[in-house]
Amino acid sequence: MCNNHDPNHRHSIHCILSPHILRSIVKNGSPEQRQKAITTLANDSTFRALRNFTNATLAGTGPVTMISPGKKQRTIIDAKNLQSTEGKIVRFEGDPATDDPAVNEAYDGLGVTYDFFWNIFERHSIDDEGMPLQGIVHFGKEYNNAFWDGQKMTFGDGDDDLFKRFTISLDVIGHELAHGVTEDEAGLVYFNQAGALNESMSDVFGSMVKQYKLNQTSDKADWLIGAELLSDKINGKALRSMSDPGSAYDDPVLGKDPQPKHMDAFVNTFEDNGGVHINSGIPNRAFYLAATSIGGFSWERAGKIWYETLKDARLRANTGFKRFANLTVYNAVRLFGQGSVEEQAVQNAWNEVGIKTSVKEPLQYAH
Amino acid sequence: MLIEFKSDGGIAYFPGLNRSKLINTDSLNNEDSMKVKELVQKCRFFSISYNEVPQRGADRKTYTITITDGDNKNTIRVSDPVEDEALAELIGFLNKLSKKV
Ligand SMILES: [Zn+2]
Ligand SMILES: [Zn+2]
Repeated sequence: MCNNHDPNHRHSIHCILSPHILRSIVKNGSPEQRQKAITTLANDSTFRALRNFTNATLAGTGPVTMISPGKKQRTIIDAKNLQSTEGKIVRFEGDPATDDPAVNEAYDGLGVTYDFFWNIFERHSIDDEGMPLQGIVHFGKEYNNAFWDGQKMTFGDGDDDLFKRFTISLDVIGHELAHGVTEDEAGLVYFNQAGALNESMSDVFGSMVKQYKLNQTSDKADWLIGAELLSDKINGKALRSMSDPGSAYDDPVLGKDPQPKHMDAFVNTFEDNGGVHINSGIPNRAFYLAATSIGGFSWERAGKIWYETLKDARLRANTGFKRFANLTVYNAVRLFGQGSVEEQAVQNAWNEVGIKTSVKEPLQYAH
Repeated sequence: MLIEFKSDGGIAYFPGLNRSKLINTDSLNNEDSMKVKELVQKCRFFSISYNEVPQRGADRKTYTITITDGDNKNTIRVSDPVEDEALAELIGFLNKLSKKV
């Protein structure tokens, strides 16, 4: 994992393992080798660990091929409706599509998300050091959720009553992978305002991944999270709306979407880790407002500002909304200039959700 | 048997699903009542002890379960992934039951 939070830091080019070698372990290795490969992936999925494992396991089998950043390394594991983290590898990088839609959606969704971060921000996977992407599908029985466990992205099948399978929405896959990016860069504590920023970051990047895939400008995007996920029985359109937080659903079973869109309606609660999925509506809307006000593709300018803010050393683990907002303004100025359209758009966006920003303030923060 | 079940967290916060649900096996139909008692026994609910807060990750669900049965009473708190498969099975069934409560 990367602990270098200097904003100008770029990762050194690491030599990483060829997918062919991993594939051959999984496909042709002895049961012990295969199990060890899976366990290694599960416990420490950095390529450093893989390299150590592979060098030890394949000692004397010839030179190890190296590949460069820009190459992704996906592994999809079928949990077979158990909650155990071990499972069967059902699709490995480069393998053809299977007849299981959840497997293919996870594979393709992680691929698009990797490509988005690489092509737009030159970020080489979750840790910017080529961390292999592991997706677990068919997790649990009728499991209504997807989560990031610190190493892997896990998706349930849904109960088919309230929710469909959680791989069905690309922005949900992007959301989970982005949790890894946020953890690596900022380590935003998963509680209260820092946690809501952590959640918002995942929605911001998840939504951009979907827009990127659809080649949509920000005015054409639906700004919904999980629009494909709700069953027909639910009175609602998505898990969340970034453009109009609080409007995603109003249903007898789910209740009413509790997201505020302005600081006036900020929710103080002990539920949901201090309302991390509730108050994220406020920074979500700020991003939507900034992106649509600037226009064009969201990732070109608003997304760039948010990404640079995420990497900013002054974004501490316990950062609240106001400090984060100031840092976005600071980064807008740094990237696009004082008094630029972008700076104005970002200031106005935060203003509209009830957060007064100051560009001078973050410059005074200790570096 | 009285079961208090609360599921918190997950990729979204749904007010309707995150409410604490009280399940009284006396008011369940025979089949559900038998099934839930069987699962409680299978995971040895009254002798397990979980009170875990995961250090890493996001969007995990956390389950808080209190069951009272005569003189037996226990409360556990556990988060995804629930690697104890017998307990995972109980949680899955309580999830299902709590949609009806
Ligand atoms: Zn770094
Ligand atoms: Zn999340």
